[in-house]
Amino acid sequence: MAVGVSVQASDPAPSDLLALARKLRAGAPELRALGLPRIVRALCAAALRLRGNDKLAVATRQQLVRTTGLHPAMVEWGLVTTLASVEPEALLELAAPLWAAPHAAPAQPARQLPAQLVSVVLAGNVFTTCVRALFLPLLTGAPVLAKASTHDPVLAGALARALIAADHQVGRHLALLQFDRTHEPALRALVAEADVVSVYGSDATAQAVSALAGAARVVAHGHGISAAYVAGESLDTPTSVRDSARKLALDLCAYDQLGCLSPHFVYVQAGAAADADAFARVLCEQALQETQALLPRGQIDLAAQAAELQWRGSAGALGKLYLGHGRAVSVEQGAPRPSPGYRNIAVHPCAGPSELVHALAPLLPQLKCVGVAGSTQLRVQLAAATLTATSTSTPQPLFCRLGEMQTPSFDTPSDGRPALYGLTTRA
Amino acid sequence: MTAVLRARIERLIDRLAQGGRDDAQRDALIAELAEQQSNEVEPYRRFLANEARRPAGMLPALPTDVFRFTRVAAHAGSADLRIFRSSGTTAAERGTHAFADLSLYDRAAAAAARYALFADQPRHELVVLAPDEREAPDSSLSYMLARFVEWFGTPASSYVWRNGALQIEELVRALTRAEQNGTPVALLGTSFAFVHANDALGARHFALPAGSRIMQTGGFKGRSRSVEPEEMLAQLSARYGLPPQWIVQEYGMTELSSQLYETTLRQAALGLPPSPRRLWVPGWVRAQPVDPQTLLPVAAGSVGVLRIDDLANVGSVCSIQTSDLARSVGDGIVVLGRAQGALPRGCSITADEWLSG
Repeated sequence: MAVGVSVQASDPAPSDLLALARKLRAGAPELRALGLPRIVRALCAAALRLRGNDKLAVATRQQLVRTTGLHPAMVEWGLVTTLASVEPEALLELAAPLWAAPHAAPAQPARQLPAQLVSVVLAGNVFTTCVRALFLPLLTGAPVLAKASTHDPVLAGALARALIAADHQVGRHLALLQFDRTHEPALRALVAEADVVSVYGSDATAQAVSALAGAARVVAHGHGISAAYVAGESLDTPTSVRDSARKLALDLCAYDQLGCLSPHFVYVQAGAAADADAFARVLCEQALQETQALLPRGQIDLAAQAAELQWRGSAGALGKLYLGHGRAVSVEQGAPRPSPGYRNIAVHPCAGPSELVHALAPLLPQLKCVGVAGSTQLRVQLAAATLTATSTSTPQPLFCRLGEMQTPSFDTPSDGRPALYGLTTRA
Repeated sequence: MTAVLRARIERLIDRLAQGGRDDAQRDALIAELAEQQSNEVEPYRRFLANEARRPAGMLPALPTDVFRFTRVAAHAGSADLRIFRSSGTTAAERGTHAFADLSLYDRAAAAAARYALFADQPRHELVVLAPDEREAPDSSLSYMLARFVEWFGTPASSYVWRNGALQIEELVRALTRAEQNGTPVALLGTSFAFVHANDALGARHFALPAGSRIMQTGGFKGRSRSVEPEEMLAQLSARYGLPPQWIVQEYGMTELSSQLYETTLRQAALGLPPSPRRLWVPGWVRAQPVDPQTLLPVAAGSVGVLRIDDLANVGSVCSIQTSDLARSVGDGIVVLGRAQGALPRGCSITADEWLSG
């Protein structure tokens, strides 16, 4: 199996996989010799191509609609917003310090070096997760050997093809394979030669991969949840209430609320002109209705419908429920409940930032992001208060503007860590 | 609930205990009981106030999740006789069901077990692979099995699960004794206990005497590795030397007072003609896979989300909406479990991941 033509090989023999890993690893100096600007140009060209309308881009969209179950408009939105974040200045700025580091003085204690090989285990996450998962290691100058999600290999495959087409010399350092994650010999071969293993999916998946990874550094990107907060200052006029609700509606509708950056609940500060109940009504009856007209809900299978039935019924028994076609907003007190996704969200009244931090504290190990309708100063305060409330080992959630939860820039920290965290080795 | 309605329910259970059916009477009683409970049980009243759908004139069923988040009972907490909690490792994961009176629970449990598990003879040597009720006082399964030992057990009956673990030597002793003296035994326990037993027994296999039987119940939920039902059936059959039809699943849940059993054991024990394996629905229970959008029953054979109306649930809510997928097979039900969705689930944490903390 030659490097560069292994894109989307299915069910590889472990021995072939191991040979491929070794070949990729041996090619690391060639990739780095190409230089950061050339790698960035290739990545950006691949992303730009998939935002366009050529045969590959159109076919990718069509396949994504089938594999994800999302509405075509939602696929288009996710694809465009994510690929638009792959832009040259951001990538250069992100990676340049790292490329400079190997030439720094040897006496520096924590000199970062590119990995010789990064193995990536992708999961059935939101379909755009693979963009950063595949491109970030390449940006460090490390070849990538990746296992695509068996549920949804489409965009990863398209990225690999587009990269080969954009610059064969760069693209040949990314190999993408597809096999069932329970195929342990293949999984073992996938990680055997890697310095770094980047694994996406559940805790169980991360543990299974870690057990096989040997001395390689494992960077786990586990499942998670997100929340939102609407401060009183964003609820003082009918216009600001609608504006906050619209921003939340976008964060909620994106990827049909199945992403780890999707809010499960929103805390609404009490004492403002609009209370939690009024906000919930505007969210359901206006903001979500408008957003859904642009980004309709996709398919929802029977298992998810069963979960939705439980969530909505419980919401009704516990508090108040606003229902619309393909959406539900509850008003609840007490501890937050997990949403089944698919645009079901709970609104909790909240006295203010202190109560918010207190309410979120038990969720911090899984909390990825908090979208805040309020000032920049408030976001900084909330982040600081959350940091104080947790141990140093707990990943910190990202506090971002409401309406931007699902459109992080390419260099946005993940799990409270820098975008390139863990992808390098130490000298 | 009025004493008159309760007496009518008791009479119906007694009348249908031998497997008879009177669906019209059952449905009328369900409607009457649910209507009363909609006034007496606050979470159900609130749920109905927020739920406009009335499928085919029926009151909608209360989701099982509600039992996790709030008390669902027609009586005050001071009148609690027993509180059952569902399995799980965190408080949020565990549903609670409070009882002020267990006599109707007992009546339904005895009738169903006598019909489906012990139809051929009144007493059996029971070997219980589950905790005694003193060790697990909040387990409805342990309560039910303790009553089974009283109602259907011989003095030789025993518990082989203690202090949170399978007592493998005691299990081996009980089964070896049964092999030697030719006395049939009934093994009753949780699915994960049977998996532990299977792992612990290694190469040891048994040839239990004719008339021996197995009832297993519940899922695995982090207590052991998961085993697919068909594989489990084959394992149990091979391990204990029992024909598959003598091995049945029980379907019960903390939120209910009645149980459903697979049909094959009764047929084998009484020499009745075999029919496809399915859950027998007692005459005082209505079990329907429903469409989650319309809440109406799905067409026969189609998969829906299981709704159960249990007339023995007089102290809480009789109409319960589970999250299990199921389909009707003849006059019975096949439960498919909480099946994984067909679509990618995303990277948002699932309810199970969240609640298991």
